[in-house]
Amino acid sequence: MTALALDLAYLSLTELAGLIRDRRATPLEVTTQLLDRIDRLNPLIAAYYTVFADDALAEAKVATDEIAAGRYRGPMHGIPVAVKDICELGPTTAGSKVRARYVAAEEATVVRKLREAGSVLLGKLATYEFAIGTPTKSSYFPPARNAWNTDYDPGGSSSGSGAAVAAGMAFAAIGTDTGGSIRWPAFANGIVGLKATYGRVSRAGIFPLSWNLDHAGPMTRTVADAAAMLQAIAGEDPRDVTAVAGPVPDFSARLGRSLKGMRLGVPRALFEESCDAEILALFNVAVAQLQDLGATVIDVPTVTHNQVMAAHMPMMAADAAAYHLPDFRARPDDFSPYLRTMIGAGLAVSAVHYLDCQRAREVIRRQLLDGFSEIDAYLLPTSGVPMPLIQDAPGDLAHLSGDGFAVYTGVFNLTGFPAMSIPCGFSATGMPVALQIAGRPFDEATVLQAGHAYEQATPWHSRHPDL
Amino acid sequence: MTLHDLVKEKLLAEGVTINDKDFPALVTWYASYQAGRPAVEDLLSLIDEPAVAFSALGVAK
Repeated sequence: MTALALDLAYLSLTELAGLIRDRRATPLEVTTQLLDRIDRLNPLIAAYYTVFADDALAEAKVATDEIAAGRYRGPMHGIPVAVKDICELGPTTAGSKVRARYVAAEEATVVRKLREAGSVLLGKLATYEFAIGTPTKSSYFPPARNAWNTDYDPGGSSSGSGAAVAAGMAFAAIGTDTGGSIRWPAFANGIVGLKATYGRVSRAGIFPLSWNLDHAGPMTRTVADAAAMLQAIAGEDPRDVTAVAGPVPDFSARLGRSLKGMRLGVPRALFEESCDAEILALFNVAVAQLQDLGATVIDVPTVTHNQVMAAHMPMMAADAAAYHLPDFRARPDDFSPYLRTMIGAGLAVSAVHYLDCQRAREVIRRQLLDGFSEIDAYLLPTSGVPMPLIQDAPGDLAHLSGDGFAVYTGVFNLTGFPAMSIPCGFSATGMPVALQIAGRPFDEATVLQAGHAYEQATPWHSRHPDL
Repeated sequence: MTLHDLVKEKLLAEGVTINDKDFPALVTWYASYQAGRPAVEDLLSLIDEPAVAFSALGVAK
């Protein structure tokens, strides 16, 4: 069997890595085939802003030659991947007119680490403007489309990352997550999104949204793929003081282990009142499936969604305002109306209010940390709302304020805990739905173990858009 | 002083002038942050440690 005879598009990263390791496929063949697919599908999905076709083929040739010479580096070697366009690598626009002509002089640490692992960099992926501003059809950069139904938003802010991985236009992608921007598009696109512990992955060279809430991490088609990509990008970095020093554990070590004895806690007060009935029903089925796999599932006390949003939103807006203030003073009209609203509101947050949010955040973190005396991981829906249609224009932005945005991811940005979104079914309209597993700080292994066991017992990861 | 005037004054103090068309949404967002303050204060009432603060440049433990 030659690699070109395979339909590679929806192979998992780890399946492809096996083929490359065993020399049944070469990075050059795979990259060539994937670039053809991107060329065909990007006009429909708009996942990529920039495709590095020539560079990717050159990198793939180097990887092919290295592996042929017996210098195989590991599971990411020769794997074509892409990165969200707020990660510095060549032209880096952040999806904004403000950075439309910016070309990075250095590369983000996550990019450098992927290169060291031997990955092939395919290009730069669409993002909500500066990782927050919801795009519309009238935005300066066109919005990425949901591969399951192109009328729908693919979620964000890592919109292109989610859409590209779901559409078989990359084997994995880097996303970033300040309030759910890895996990929400993972939900929306029926893929896996892993936000590791705060400090696990360097953010150096990534445009900030909020210095103390931002995370970077993998978006992939399977849990094992997420573990493999995290392995490549985790670890200390002198360019990011929050990146933790010391050895990085083997994130794949517990994949395949039984869930017998694992205790999962469901924080129902966080989501039950605001969660869409169809999503809640699918989540409850998943809970029963995890029990069938041997896990003990109990309801646990928690803070509310309202409390989480009350602490999260003012901090994120104020941090964004601090970062963008020079550009906002100089050329506010180059920001989208959404960004202007958020930055303006963030500028008005008082220092006392900000500090109270930080203090409240610590109360939330301690409460959820105490919960780990009874459980090994939290289990909850990723989002309580179905995906919206892509809008023609921004319209009335006022409705986006407050706690009406029932996506249950921000709590793990506040706490810094590792959290992963994995598919748990499809709605009646054919759109993906997902659950979220969150673990103790630096215990990504438990999150991955639970997610992998669930994934392997269910069919959702093997469903793909017909493209 | 109206909320609109308060927000406008705060932005002016930061050297920012903003188009009037942006103000209704901006004020609504700011008002939503203010509306969340009782929830924040409820959380703070749960502890006896007034100085508790997340180490924003530290490491999640």
